[in-house]
Amino acid sequence: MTELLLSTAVSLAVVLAFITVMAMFFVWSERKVAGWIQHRVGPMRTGGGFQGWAQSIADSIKLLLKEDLILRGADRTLFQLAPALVLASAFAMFVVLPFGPGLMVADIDLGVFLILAIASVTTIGVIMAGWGSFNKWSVYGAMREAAQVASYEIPLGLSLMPPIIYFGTFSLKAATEAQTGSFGMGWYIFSDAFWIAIPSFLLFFVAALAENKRAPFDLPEAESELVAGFHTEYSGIRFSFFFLEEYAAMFVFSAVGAVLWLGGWNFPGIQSFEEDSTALLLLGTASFVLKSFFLVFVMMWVRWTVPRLRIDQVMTLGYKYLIPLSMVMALLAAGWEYIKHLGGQA
Amino acid sequence: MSSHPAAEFDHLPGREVELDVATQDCLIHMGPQHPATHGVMRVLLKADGEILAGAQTHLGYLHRCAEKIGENVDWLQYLPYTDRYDYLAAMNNNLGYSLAVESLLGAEVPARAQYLRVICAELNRIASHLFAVGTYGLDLGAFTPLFSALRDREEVLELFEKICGARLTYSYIRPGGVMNDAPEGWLTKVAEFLDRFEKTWHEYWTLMVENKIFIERTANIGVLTEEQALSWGCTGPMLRGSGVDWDLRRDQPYLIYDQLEFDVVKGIGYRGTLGDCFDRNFVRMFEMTESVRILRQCLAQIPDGEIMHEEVGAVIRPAPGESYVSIENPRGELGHYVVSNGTKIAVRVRVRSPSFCNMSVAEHLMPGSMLGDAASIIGSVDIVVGETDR
Amino acid sequence: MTLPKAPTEPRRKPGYFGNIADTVTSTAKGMALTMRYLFRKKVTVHYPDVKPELDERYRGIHYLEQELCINCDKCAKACPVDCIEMDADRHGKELEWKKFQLDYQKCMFCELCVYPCPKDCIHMGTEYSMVSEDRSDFVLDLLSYTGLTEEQKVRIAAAEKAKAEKLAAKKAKAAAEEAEDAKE
Repeated sequence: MTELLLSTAVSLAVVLAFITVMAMFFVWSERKVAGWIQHRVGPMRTGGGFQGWAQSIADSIKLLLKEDLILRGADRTLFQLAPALVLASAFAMFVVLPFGPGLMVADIDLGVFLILAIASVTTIGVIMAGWGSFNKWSVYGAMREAAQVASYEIPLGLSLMPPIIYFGTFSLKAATEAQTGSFGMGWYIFSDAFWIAIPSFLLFFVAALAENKRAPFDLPEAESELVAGFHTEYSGIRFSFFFLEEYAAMFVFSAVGAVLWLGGWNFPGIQSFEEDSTALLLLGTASFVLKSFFLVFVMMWVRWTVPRLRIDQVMTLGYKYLIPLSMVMALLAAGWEYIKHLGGQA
Repeated sequence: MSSHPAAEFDHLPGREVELDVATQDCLIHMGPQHPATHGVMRVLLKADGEILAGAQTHLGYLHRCAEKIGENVDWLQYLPYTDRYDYLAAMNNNLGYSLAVESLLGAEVPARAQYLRVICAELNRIASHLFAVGTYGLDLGAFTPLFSALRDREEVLELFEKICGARLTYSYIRPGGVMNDAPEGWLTKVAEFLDRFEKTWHEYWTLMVENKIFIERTANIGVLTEEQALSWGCTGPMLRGSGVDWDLRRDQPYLIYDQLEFDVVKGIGYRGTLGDCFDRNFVRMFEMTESVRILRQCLAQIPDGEIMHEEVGAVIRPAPGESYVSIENPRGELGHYVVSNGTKIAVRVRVRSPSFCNMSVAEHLMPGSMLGDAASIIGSVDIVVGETDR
Repeated sequence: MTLPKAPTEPRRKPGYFGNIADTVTSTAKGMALTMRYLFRKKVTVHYPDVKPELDERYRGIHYLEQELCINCDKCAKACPVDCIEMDADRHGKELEWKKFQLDYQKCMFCELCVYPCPKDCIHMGTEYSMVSEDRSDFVLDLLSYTGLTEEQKVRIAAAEKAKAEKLAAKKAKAAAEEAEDAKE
């Protein structure tokens, strides 16, 4: 019992540290990517040397030391609870991610489901934040978040169907292991169903952007319309929780994409390594993290390219385009499996 | 002004809501500090959820008594103040004021000065439109076009810095001519900039005008009909965006514009309805290309010679009289009405500023559109609050 | 690449699949462009480390060639915001300067003060940064302002010295005359 508690505590601490460091890295890289895309250099000074690497550390210290403001008319309970709820849900999603061979907190049969379910808890936090802030812009942000995320749960779930049908499992670990074939390159997008995999991956990516309120779907915080949306009134450490959540969630959705379409921890030549060896663990984890980071980079890249949609257009895109198309993809995937099944019988 | 802000919408017809519950429209103050108001301006929005039921613009936060100052300083001393009402197109403001004073003086400006004036005014038009297009992207949530625009605008500002020493408030074009002659090699540098700009113009086309999301956000939004545009006194890209073929450079030629060849761009409803936000942006995009055409001709034709009228000195004493001269500013018709009584100080300086007239119609475009469109509409009007309030 | 002419015909509105195709292609085009931006040379400079090169025409903080100035007040009269104040005592042909002040809280760097100068002695330099926590620091006395080039400093110092010598000689002469008068 003690051992179990201890191992849980250690893995939790590792996840916590990983998320914090990773989020700080993402904040820094977002600023660098934004800068480079916009003919600027981004942060350069903090840390004294290389490309302002310590910028996020300085930022987080600043945020920790800042005054924690709560408006007089705000609903204190909701206002204070919201960032904690948002952050907790972001942390909880990390539990089922298969970082490397044998490196995951919990292998649950319904891993994909768990992530989808917890992702909607974030929404409740955002709505609490918007409502509790005592600010009209915040309420607008919260209402947009509610409408947007509730609608995009459906295309997100549907677009995850093709790989789930293909692998026949909801477990992220099992899905990764199913892609180990062909010298570690049996990834879903290279499989026989690649013609389903690629469009469904695009659909998933768009839905994940919206679910994650990243540009061009950053309606809840649309700074040119709603000032800063649901976190207008937040400052200091509470604000940084929302920030942390955004980048943590970005990583989680990228990781789901990386696992289900890009082979998770698999990399070319994975078969030549012994099972349970340290080299396999390290290389596998590196492969997983790199793929996820690449998808996070694409999210940033999109953000600094396109304008923002309007809320009704977000709805139109979700209901009229993503849902029908992802449904077609799910049906095609099922049909393709059936054809293969028939072919196997014959 | 009534005590409750909601009373400002009393003149609008009431909206009927078929619900049992009591509902109330939400009043939102957009501004004076808001990212999308392009300065210190306040828009009071009346919103039913995301849909706007009414809008009311409040101006005056940046009023600096510019016209009154004109009645208290010398004719020439007022010139730096003209820089400051439309700070994105200061060259054009200088030009408008100088032309008004010259018409009182009856002075004919030397040919080289006229060409230099046109070159500077058109470069300034490019810079101003670049900023308008870039910030319009910002209003719609796209950051990168703004930084590309600033990159190109920076080159124009450097050119201005080389010719007159200032980057924003030039006071370069002055009654009687221009302040300095172009330094050696400056005209070549302008030509080099135009070469570069012809390449980078396509980047704005790709990032903004051609982008599907941008089209969705601007087409069919804030439609200003031709009739509305004329009756509200809109000018500039706002008027031409509604399909009215009117450009003071061609229809009331001043300086050497009648000797230059250029087209007047007007909106055609390229991606939506005629007179929508897309068309206004579209007109700005192509006015930049026309400015490049004008600049190329000017660079080829510019003669040598004097740059200042001999008889116009530091102290100007125009004969008693009055004059109204309007020019085509990047934002529309910029008119200067000046009255002289023969002394060295004006009796009256009045400015007809395009942003003010263009902005007055914006609140009538908003009802019925959505909250996000408010930013889109204000951005497409391309106001400079320094000019609306003066 | 040359610039296109403005189109005169509206584009046809796309249908359902046209919308999808438009969105995908235009976003892809935009992303290709931003990817090129990512690796392009950056245009910004690191300001305090790398100072911008300013042209000699730049309108920065003024400098005065004091030995040329004749205290004619023309620049102060030309100033739209009345930010120039000067005062000097006249000893025959020589001037004893008391102050030549410019209030940079008012100054709008319009360069209107430079043109009327009959001796061409007030100029605008390339110094542009003025930072202080005290407002009185923005009132510069151009007599002591050191935003001058080395050459100008040497020239001014020589002129000052010559002037001081002349004044001293005058005073000595006057004193000697007085002494003689007293003797008589």
